Amino acid sequence: MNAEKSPGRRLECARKLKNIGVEYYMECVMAKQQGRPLAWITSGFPVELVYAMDVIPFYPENYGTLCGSRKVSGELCQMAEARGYSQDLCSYARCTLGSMYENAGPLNGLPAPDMILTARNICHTVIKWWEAVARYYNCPLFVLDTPFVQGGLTGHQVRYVREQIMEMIGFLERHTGREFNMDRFMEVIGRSNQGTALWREIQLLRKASPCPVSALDMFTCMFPIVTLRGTAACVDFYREMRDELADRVARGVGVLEEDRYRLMWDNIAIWYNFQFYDYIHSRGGVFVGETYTSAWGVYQFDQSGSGDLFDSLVRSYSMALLNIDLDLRFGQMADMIREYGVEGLILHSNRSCKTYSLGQLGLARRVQNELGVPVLIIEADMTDPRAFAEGPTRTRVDAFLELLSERKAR
Amino acid sequence: MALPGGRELIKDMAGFVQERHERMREIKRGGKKIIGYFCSYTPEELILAAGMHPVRIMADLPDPAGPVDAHLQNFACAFARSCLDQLVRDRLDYLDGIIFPCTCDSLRAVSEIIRANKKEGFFYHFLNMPLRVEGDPQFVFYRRELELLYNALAGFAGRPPGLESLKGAVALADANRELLIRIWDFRKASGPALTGEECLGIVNAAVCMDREELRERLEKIRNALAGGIGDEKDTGRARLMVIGSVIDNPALIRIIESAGALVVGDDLCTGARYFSVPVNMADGEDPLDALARRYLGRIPCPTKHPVDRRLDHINRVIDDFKIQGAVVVLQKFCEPHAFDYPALRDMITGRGIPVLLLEIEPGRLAEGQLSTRVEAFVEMLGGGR
Repeated sequence: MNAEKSPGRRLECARKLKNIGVEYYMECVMAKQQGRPLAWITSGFPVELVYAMDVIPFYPENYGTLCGSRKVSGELCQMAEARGYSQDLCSYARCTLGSMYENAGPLNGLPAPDMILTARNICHTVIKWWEAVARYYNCPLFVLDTPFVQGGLTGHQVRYVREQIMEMIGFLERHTGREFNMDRFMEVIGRSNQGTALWREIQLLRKASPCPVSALDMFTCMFPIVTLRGTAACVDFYREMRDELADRVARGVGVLEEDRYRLMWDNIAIWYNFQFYDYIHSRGGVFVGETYTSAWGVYQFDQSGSGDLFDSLVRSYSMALLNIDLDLRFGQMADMIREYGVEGLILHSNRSCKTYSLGQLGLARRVQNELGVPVLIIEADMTDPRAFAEGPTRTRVDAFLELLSERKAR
Repeated sequence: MALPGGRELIKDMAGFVQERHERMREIKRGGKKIIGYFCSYTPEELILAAGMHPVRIMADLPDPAGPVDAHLQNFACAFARSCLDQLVRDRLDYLDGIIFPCTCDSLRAVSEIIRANKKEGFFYHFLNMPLRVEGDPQFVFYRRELELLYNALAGFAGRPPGLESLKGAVALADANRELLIRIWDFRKASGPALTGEECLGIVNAAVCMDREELRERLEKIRNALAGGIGDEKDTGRARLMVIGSVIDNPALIRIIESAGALVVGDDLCTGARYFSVPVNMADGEDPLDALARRYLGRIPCPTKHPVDRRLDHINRVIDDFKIQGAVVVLQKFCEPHAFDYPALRDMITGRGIPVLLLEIEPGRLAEGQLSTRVEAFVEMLGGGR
C-alpha cells in the first residue's frame, strides 16, 4: 500500500515488516536444507515450547493472510475445491490445501513439515484441517485439546490441559531427538512476556485522541506477535513500534487529524481488501481497538520461579478469545468499548470463521442495548474475495457513520 | 410365515417420529421431566437414571427463516439453525431442559445462544466432551465431566438417582442397543426385509420414545424379522451405504431407494454411530467409569480425534453388508464432515466402490435434482430395479 495515497497516516516501523516477513518465510523454506526441524502450528498454539525446542514454527493461518493480501487466495481456494473440499470451508484452510496439493501460491508450494501441532482453543476447524495435512504429508500430528471455558477454568480442566502439555513436550523430544531444556524455555518465556507486554502497551496508547494507529497498521503489525512470539525480533519490533506510537501521542499526531468516529472492529481482517479500511478512514472513522489484535495481548506467563509456569501457560492458552463463553467475550468487549471511548462497533460476520462469527448477533444486541453503542454487521470472508460485496458494504458504512454523526450532534 | 403386524410395527416407528411433539407432551403430562439433547454423544443413561425422559432434538421441516436469523447467521448448518429455530419459537414447549455435548463450532455456538436466552428454571448443561477420545487424561477428564452432569441432573430432579437406577439405566440403554444391532444385522441378508427408510424411522423413534416401550417394540420387531416378515424387498437392487451426520428427513432415503437401490448400511449419527457399541458394564465396574469408557470408545464422529475407528467401521460395513456403492450426505456448512470427505471418498473408491456426494440442506431438498443424480448413480452400479 502506498503511504502517500492512504487517507490515514501509516506507521514508519511497518516498513520493516517486509524484511521480517521475508526472513521468516525464508527460514521456513530453507529449514529442510539446513537440517532444522519445521512444525506447522496454529495461531493459538503455545509456540514458546516450539521455539524452546529450536523447531521452526510455520503458520498456515498467517500464510492464508499472505495469500489474501497478495490477492491469490481466490484461485488457491478453488484449487482445494477441485480436490473435493467444499467452498463453505474456512478459506485459510482452502488456501493451504490448494497450495499444498498444487505446489502453488506466493511461496511456490509450502515447506513440508516434520511434524504438525494444533490446538482446539481457536476452533475445531484447525483440528480437521491439520488432520488433512497429516494425511497428505504422512507426518506426526499432535492435538492439544483445550476444553471450552464457561464462567471460568475448572481444576480438572487445568489438569487435563497440563497433562497434554507434558505429553507434547515428550512428543517434541521424540520427533526432534532433542531434550527439552528448561533454561532455554525460560528464556523464550521471558521474551514472550516482553513481546506481549509491549503489544498491550501499544494497544493502550490507542486510548489517546487522535488515535495514533488504526486497524490497517495493527493487522499488518500483528505478524510478529503471532508468529515470532518468544523471539528477540518480536521484542525489538514492538519496542520500536511502541516508541513510535508514544512519540505520536506526545506530539498529538494521529492516523487522522481528528478522530471523527472512534470505532472498534470484531473478527478477523478482510485481508484482500485493505482499501475498505482506507475508505473508512477517508470518512473520518478510526479503529481504536480490535478484538482480533488484542487477543494476542492476553498471554502472561509466570516466570517468577515461585509460581507455576506451566499452569499459567495452560490458563493463558485455555482462556483464548475463541475458547471462552459469550458472557466472557462480551465482558472483554465492553471493557474495551468503555476504556477506549468507542463510539461504534463494526462486526465482520466472517463466513470462514464460524467460531468467531456464530454468536456475534447476540453480542451485537448486547452492545447496543446495554452499552448504547451502535453496531454495524458486515458480511464478508477473511480471505475468499468471492464472499464480499464491497459496493453495498461501503454504502452501509456510510449510513452507519451518518448515524454516528447524528448521535454526536445531539 | 410372517408374524401378524410385523410390518405395521416398523411403520409405526416412523409414525411416532412424525408425531413426536405430541407424544412428548403426553409423556410430560404423565409427570416426567423431559430433557432434550443434541448429538449422540449425550449419555442418555444419566437422564434415564435421574428419572427423566431423554429426547433427541431433530431438525424440523421446512428450513426456517425468521426469528432464528436474529441469533444465527445463514452459514451455520441448517441443522443447527432448525434446532435453534424450534427453541426460540418455543415449539419444543415440552422441554424442561437441554444438554449439549461439545462437538463442532456451530453447535457450540447454538449452545451458547441457548444459554444466553434460556428461561428461568430451564435446565441447561454443556458437557465438555473431550475432542481426543484416546488416552488416560481424556478418560479422567471426561469421567469428571460425567460426574458433573450426573450431579446437575440429580440437583434438577431433586434427588440423587443412586447406584441401582444408574445400573438399571445402563442395562436398559444397552438392551436397546443390542436390539438395534440385531435389527441392523438383518440387512446383511440378500434381499433384506427392511428398507433403509424403515431403519431410519426405527432409529429416529428410538431417540424419542419411552425407552421401556422402545425395548418392547424393538423386541417385537426383531422377533418379526427373525420369523420372516416376507422378503418383500426384492433382490438385485444395488446395496448402498449412507454416510453422514444427522438425517432426520426420511424423504432423503426415500429418494435414494426410489431410484431402485436399497440402503442396507450406514455410518450416521442417526444410525450405527448412535448404538453400535454397547456399554457392556463389567461386574462391580463403576457406572460412570463404564459410561466414560463407552462414549470415548464408540465409533467416533468427525468432531472427534482420531478418526481411525470411524474409517474401520465404514470398511467393516462395506464388507459385512456387501456394499456396492456409498452415498455421502453432506449437510451444507458442516465443516467436520466436509473436511473428511475427500479422504473418505478416496478410501472408498480405492476399494473399487463408487461414491456419490449429495450436498443437502435438509429443509430444502431439491427432490427432482437429487433423484436424477441418484438414478444415474444407481444405473452406473447396474443395480436398478
